[in-house]
Amino acid sequence: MTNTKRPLEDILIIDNSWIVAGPHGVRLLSDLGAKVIHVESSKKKDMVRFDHIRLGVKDPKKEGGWVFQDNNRNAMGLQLNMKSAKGREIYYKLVQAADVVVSNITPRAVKSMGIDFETLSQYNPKIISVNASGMGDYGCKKDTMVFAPALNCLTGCTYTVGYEGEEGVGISVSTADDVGGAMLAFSVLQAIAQRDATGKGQFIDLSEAENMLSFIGSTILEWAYNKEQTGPIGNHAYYGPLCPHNAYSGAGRDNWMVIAIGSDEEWQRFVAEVGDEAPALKDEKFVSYEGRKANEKELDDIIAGIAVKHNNRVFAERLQNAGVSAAPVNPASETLADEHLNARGFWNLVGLPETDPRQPDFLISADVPKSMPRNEKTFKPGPAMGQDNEWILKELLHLTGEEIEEAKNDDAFI
Amino acid sequence: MGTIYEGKRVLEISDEKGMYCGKLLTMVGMEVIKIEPEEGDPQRLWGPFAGHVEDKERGCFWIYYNTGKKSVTLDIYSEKGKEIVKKLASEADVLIETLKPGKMAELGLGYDDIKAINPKIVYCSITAFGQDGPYAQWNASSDIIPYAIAGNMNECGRPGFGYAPLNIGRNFTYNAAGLYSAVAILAFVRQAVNTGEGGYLDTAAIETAALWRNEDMANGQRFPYKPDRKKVGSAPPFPPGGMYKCKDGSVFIVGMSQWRSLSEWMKEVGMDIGEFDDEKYKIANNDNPDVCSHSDELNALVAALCQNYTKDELYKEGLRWHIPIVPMNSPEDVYNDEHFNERGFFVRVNHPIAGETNYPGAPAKLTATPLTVDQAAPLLGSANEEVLGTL
Repeated sequence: MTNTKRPLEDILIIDNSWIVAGPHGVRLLSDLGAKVIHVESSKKKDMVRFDHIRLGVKDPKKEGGWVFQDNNRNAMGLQLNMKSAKGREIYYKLVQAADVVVSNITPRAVKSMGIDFETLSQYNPKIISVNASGMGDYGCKKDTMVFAPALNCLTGCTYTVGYEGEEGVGISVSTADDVGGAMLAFSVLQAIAQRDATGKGQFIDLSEAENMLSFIGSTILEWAYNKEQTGPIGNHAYYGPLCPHNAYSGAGRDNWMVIAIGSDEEWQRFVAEVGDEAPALKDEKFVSYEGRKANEKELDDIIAGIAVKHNNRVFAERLQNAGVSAAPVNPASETLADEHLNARGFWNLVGLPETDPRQPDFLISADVPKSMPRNEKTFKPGPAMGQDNEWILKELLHLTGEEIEEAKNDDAFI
Repeated sequence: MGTIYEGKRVLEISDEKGMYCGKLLTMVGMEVIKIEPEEGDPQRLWGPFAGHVEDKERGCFWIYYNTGKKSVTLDIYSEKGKEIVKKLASEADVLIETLKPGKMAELGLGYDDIKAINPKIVYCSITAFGQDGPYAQWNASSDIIPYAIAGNMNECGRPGFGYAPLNIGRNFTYNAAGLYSAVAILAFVRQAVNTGEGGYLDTAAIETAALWRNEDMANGQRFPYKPDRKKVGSAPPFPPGGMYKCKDGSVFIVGMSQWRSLSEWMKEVGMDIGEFDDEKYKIANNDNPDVCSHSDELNALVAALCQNYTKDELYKEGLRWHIPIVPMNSPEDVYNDEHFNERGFFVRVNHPIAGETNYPGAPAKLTATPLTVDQAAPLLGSANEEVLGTL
């Protein structure tokens, strides 16, 4: 531990969110120093504790949800039943002590839970509240039931990703939620900046769909200017003078590599390294980008013929050593074992006793971006249900034993 | 009413890795000065071009990711250029750079050089691999390289080992590195305002992409695991679900154990669902073994249902039956979508050369301090006099 102050150490976040988008955004703020209280109740457990992206363990009593552990690492856990009157009372006391309230549920659910901005600001006029939903707080399609893969589809992202000449197949399931979470963190910081300047809080209406549209905005802009759109082009480069730019199968079963050449000089380095294995590469027509692009299919076939004779990892590294952009396409286990990520301290093993309901050990990812001075902290896994109730009720909210007992009798902590 | 970010000055010495980061900082009112070589950023010449005219001021990629910035041309490798950058940096709040690790220090413009003259500087380096580690000096001509290593590409694509894994493409992975960078930059600028001390941020696109954890990464921690690809963009978590053809395109149905609703709907329209009317298929359990072992048959029934409707009809039926059904939208569909337009997502931007049109707007709606996206990208060198003239 170091005494270095982190930029958000004065910020307390009540995290009512669940699954991916909310917790991921909160985690980024936590890495920057914010204290986080993750609120759950047995009536509405965070479903990713148990069955989403499991750590390959079948025991249903074990909390095998890795994404929960990684996104909620270092957070405190409060078990609180918002349906109990005393539970709500305690919740709003907490709101008075907090700076930010985060949720990622439908706009309707925000109101029925009593965590809408109007209600919260009655208890704390400085409060910042953010709700991340698929389509936003208002608009004719606000009630669309949206999960991340659906977001990819309805924002046009799936439309562009696929094999050439075919319908799009789209991207990794939770990516839209992850980058939605990052935008949540960004927008909360803007709201904190306003509060720093004016003392006032505000509501943030985060539509994950709109965040995705901002991400892929140049694609939409092409339609706006030219009334043209382009579907999938496989792994070829859509932007920039990159050719070859593709995935090639190495030796063996399903061992792929990518090669991306961005200049004529890089091409020369490539030919110098592997040209003897396929003299056709030395043909004049491939010397310029225009020539390579015009003969892309032929070029891909020649490179595929070389690649398939080599171990994908060894070949990519050999190309990198020759100054050529290349990489193995890692299956997840290789990404976890990757020497570069591990040398940078990106994966951190967290061990827990066998008796812990959470998994006995797993990898936790480090802060991104890495900041200097380095944040030398210990990573704690996501909180067990209600693990910090006592501290929050007694030390933070200064409730008496009697008040706590009364709330307990009202089922406030189930 | 203002925020502490308004008017803060950002120097952006960046290629496609840092452009979205700079764009996001303009949205909170920062003054982002983009330093370009005399001939302009090479990315200015990335097509397609607005109006189909190949021109430095018309590349859709560049004019989108650089809205709201100021353009200054400068040869940062010349003695005079280095001096000017240093002078600008001595008063700036943020510096974004995307050169190979060590290059800025070689020019005398590294974090230590700038910090010595400006301790409040928030200095952010965005690269494919980060500043240290065995791959730090590797090449990455495009973001397919970090994305491939980060573990998500391998699970994207059609099932079957004969099909290539698929990249997201269109600079998505670098845009993400820019977004995660912008989050940390805002926090550190706040710290600089409060304490006078900035900081150094080392963003590696390989790490921001590795944060998009997937099921395979979880399984990979328990045993050597080589998953088949899943056609993931359209892969349902649980059957039945996925992409289905309809009258005018395709829809995506998120599989969330909703056979009960689907079967009711099928019966209402007179479909014969035979044995699949049995209660055991309707039990809402994502791992329902009866459902999982008959996913092909169930999917075929859903496909038969969908082909009788248009995308819009299916979307509306989905709302009625509480089934997550969304259309597979193209950029055209998105641009004309009544919901996004009703929310005022698109913003009218007038670019002096490319022309006036609707741009995708703010990625989040803040009620008191909106993120602004209404200024066009700058013409090459258009802020030379304003910025350099005062030095």
